[in-house]
Amino acid sequence: MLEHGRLICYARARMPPIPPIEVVSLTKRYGRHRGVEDLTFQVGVGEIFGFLGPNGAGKTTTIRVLVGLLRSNGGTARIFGRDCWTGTERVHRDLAFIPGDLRLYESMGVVEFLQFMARLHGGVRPRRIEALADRLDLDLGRTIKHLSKGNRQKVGLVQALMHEAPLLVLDEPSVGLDPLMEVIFMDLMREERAAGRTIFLSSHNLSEVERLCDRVAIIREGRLVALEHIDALKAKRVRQMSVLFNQPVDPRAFERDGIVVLDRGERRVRLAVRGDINPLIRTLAAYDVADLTFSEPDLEDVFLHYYKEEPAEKVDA
Amino acid sequence: MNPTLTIKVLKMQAQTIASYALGSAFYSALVVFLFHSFIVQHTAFFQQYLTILPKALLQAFNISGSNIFTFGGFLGAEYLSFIWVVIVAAFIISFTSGAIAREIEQGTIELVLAYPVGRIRFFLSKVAALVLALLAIVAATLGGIWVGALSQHIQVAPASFFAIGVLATAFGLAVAGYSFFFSAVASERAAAAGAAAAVTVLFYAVNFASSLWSQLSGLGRLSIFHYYSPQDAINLGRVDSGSFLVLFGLALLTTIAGAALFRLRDLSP
Repeated sequence: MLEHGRLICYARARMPPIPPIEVVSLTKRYGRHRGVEDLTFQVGVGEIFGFLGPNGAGKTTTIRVLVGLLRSNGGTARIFGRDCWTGTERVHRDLAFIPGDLRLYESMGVVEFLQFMARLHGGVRPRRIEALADRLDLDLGRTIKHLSKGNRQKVGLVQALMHEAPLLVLDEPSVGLDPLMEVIFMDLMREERAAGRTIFLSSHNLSEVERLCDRVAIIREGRLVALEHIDALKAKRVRQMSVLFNQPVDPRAFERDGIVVLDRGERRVRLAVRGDINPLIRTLAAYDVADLTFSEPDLEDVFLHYYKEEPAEKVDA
Repeated sequence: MNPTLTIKVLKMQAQTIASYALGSAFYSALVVFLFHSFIVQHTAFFQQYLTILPKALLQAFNISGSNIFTFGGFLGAEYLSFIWVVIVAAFIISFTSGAIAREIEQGTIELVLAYPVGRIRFFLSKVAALVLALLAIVAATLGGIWVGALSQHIQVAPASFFAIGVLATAFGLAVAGYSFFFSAVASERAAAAGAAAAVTVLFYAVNFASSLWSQLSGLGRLSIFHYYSPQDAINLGRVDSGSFLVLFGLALLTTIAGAALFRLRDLSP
């Protein structure tokens, strides 16, 4: 019997961890209207996963399927190995959520609302609500109907974070927060990740996604068009470089290996580089360079690139 | 069922429930007082008064023959058969449409149902809150009758109180059953409330028409009002078991159907 138990423990230790989120060929339609089509991706333990897309791309639909509010027409969505539709109640024990359009019970007080939500989840650690409210500078004594948009969002954040759930599904969580609170929000997200929690973050705030997320999925017209680590995603994009030489150069010497000359002067050349930068560095090594500025592409460049290109092509996870 | 949800609903609706309960208690006591003034003290005048009223109007208020001159008949005609029904149906329709359809419409359901509550337990928690609220209103109504009867020295048998309590609760549950059904399948409060109100009015119209025209008498059985006779419950001190089963059965079936559809539907505002 003991041997059998040891065997199970050994087998479990050898098994890969169950992914917090696993979506395979997920399709959701609203009658004849598209929701999402054939989405496949996985979110790993302790990861902050960014989910990007323009309005109407299918982000909220995906999130609602994950949370069990919508039933998919095809494919599967699993949280910690459990089906998001048939195992909803069990799934929700491991989940904390902020909806994109956060609606609260207007007539309730803030603390009354948070305690009510805490009881629905089976309770929270003592002083947990107060500690989070302190961090976010949220007045617990107010009535919800008297709160500003930003303060309502803080209530949403406290209700999501107070449970210390292993998975956070956050749809536009920082909307309405002032810049100071955004910094605190990002600190809180990093702390959650450090505590081993997984965060699925849908956001329009690209700099926030860029600073927080490990990987990003971009969805467009209901389909996944990119799914990569942020750095890899950015590396694929065109970067701009300005080089000042100590003597006049012929710009044509640089036009190779994906390098494009954008602007030229007698001693200054502005270049655009796509992908690998090593060929350019090797070329530059042959010249006497006085100065070099290299602007890193930001996520906005990546984001806009995927939205402008036609048509949306499916990306395999 | 989730007690946290039930308590929250009752707390948020406490003022409304109290208003309906106190209003019903006051009105039922007033009707008992009027019974003493009109029927006991001025029987002849009242008999003459009834002869000038159109038959259809009397039928609408469930007044027939000499039934009105009994305590149960008067209380039924003047309050429990019509006005109490309007008050309680309005309360139930407002409560049930607010309980689910409004949460969908306003989007609050998105957050609550992301908690480990479960849709069926969410639904049943709301049903439990309504049942408790209905019992409070029925109890207040009976309390009003008891106080009125006591003050006017009218003897009412405990069996009559029990019978009218059971029948009124069963009737309220039947209205609640289909109202919850509409609330569970609609995405807007107005649509849920409108459908429930329309069905209630239709039930009343069918019963009214079937009692007025003999050709339609068979249709009466299709209406919940056919099975709700507070006059008989008070006068006889018992509830017809068939009527109770129809009302309670309708409540049960429509509640189960509502819960099943709510479990399967997409939820988004």
